[in-house]
Amino acid sequence: MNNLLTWATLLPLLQATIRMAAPYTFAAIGGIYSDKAGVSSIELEGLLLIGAFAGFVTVYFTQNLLLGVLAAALAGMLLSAIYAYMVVFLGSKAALIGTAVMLLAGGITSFYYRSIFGVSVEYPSIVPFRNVPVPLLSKIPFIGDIFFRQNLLVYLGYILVVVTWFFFSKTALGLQCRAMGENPFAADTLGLPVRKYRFINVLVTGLIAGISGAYLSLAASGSFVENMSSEKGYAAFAIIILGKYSPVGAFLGCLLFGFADAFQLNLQALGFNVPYQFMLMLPYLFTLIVMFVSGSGNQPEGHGKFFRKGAQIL
Amino acid sequence: MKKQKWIIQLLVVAMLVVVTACAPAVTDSTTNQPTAAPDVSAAPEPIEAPKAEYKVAALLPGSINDGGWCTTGYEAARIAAESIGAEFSYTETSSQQDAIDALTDYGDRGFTVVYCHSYDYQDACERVATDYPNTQFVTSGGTIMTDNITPIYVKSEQASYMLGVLAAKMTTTKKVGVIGSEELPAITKTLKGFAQGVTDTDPSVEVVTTYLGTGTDVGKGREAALALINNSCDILFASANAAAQGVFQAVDESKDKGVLGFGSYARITLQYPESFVADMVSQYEPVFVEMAGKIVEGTFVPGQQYFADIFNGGAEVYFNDAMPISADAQAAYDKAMEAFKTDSIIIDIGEY
Repeated sequence: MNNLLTWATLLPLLQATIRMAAPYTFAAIGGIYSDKAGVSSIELEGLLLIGAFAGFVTVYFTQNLLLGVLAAALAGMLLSAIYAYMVVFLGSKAALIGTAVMLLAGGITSFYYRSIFGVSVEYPSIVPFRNVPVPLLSKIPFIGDIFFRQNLLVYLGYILVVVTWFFFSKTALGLQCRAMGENPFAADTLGLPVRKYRFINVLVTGLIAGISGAYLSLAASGSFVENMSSEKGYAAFAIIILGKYSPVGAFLGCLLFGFADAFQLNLQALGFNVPYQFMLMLPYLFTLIVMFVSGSGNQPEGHGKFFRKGAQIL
Repeated sequence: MKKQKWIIQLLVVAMLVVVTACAPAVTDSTTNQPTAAPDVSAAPEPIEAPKAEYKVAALLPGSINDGGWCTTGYEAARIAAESIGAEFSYTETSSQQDAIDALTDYGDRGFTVVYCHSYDYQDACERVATDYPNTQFVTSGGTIMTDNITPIYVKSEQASYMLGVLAAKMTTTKKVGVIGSEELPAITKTLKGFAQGVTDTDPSVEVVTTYLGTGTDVGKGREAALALINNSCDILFASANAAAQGVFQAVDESKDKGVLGFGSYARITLQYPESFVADMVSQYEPVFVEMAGKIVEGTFVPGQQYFADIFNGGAEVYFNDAMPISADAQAAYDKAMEAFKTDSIIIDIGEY
């Protein structure tokens, strides 16, 4: 274990932690927008997949990475609109529609991928986002090396965490959005359009989760493969609960998941013979323990409750 | 409002059924993709217009676009069907029950031969085969042999062994890394073949093995490769389905550090000619085509194990013309090839 604790092995491990936490960060931060407004974010997995696909195809044909991110965000938003309409306006069960959205995303992406690129063992690829050190910040000892020598999307992730925290804790609009989650009926009596708020919040989730997908195909790698979201959306769903519905808590949860992923790979690379399944299990075990100890604490009171004007269900 | 709600829900469900036709449930990340042409029925669909009385089908345990096992199996079966002018169908299954349903369906429809491209399909074949004596069931791997169940064994580990021989001669750090997707027999045997090729050639070279736990997470493949490179592995080999794309990209990014790679399943040397030395390709095509031909001619002998190896095109090594290997490495390669000819190398692939 001794050679694990040198800076030479620790630094790459921590850098990889940040890189591998990034897709979770976008997904979880995105999910918080709908969760805070009282709509479950179980559809994340599908949004990631469609984002990864839209981002990759756009960059493949235009060679413009930023355009790819934009397309991914848009695709995520479009897909989340279906989910939002079904859940917010029609009162369908979120778990059901979330699964349907996942199936739909899996079907659409695989179908169009096969029709555009065919079936082959040779995959098309693009040049992904490269690391860009942040001036000044990257010079800070330790911290700079770990956090500020990454790619642009990672930095966007940091910004989103801060912005989301600020939005929900410090702005009136953020407070109103939270009211939709805590007690939509009280919000309604104040004359706030509950469904509209919820709908828009879910769209924001789609937008940010789409970027998470773009991270997978445009930054973490330079290709799209079928089902490449690999359950990251479901992990993000768990991370939101682990982080007690707070952006900062969720970010810490993402770092934990990222660390577990990176640690698993680094441990194996160092030649330790620990079954990889054990490391894969750890963050989920931790989530279960947290839930066991504190319940799904901090969940908005009106979470998952359908709102129809005039109907008092609470 | 209520009526409108039902209509919309119905429409969405109908849309889902159409788009995800042939995908019973996308729960497993490696299985259940919709087939090329969407169809409302869950049954396999023909790809080409039927033009002869022969019908060939393939049964695959995952997506035909997994960049490894299923893609090669699908391609091989499709080409075998073409070679005898047969109608071709395929099904991607996610469970034993799927397999039994699909096999029964193919049997009912009078298929000539069904290529069941997984070791796991042999039990399903055994249950179904007796009802359809006119259909030949060919399993990729397996030990059950009857009048119409025939296993094929492709020794892809021979090709990866040869790559290991080259790697042992080319590493300067005396440390090479191998990356697998999951601990499945088809994956582990290629990794073990490579590792044994390395250690048989130069016992002082250390082989570090990493499993990703996924075959679809390309980013994780890339990170696994970077971790190995950081730990001074200067040669990497990956057999990790689609996730291997990430490994290949990481190797190519690190070529300035003197890192080299060996590809698997596809001609990675063509994609990254500056960083990849050679590829191993496991071919089911020659043996599938040969079988289809024999079945049509009536000379096929079922119920015995068929082998495909490095001598009859079952496992092949492709070199990179842009990266000639040293005479020393070539000599070691030729020596190992001779040893395969005389059967003096036994690759320990573990349980299969």
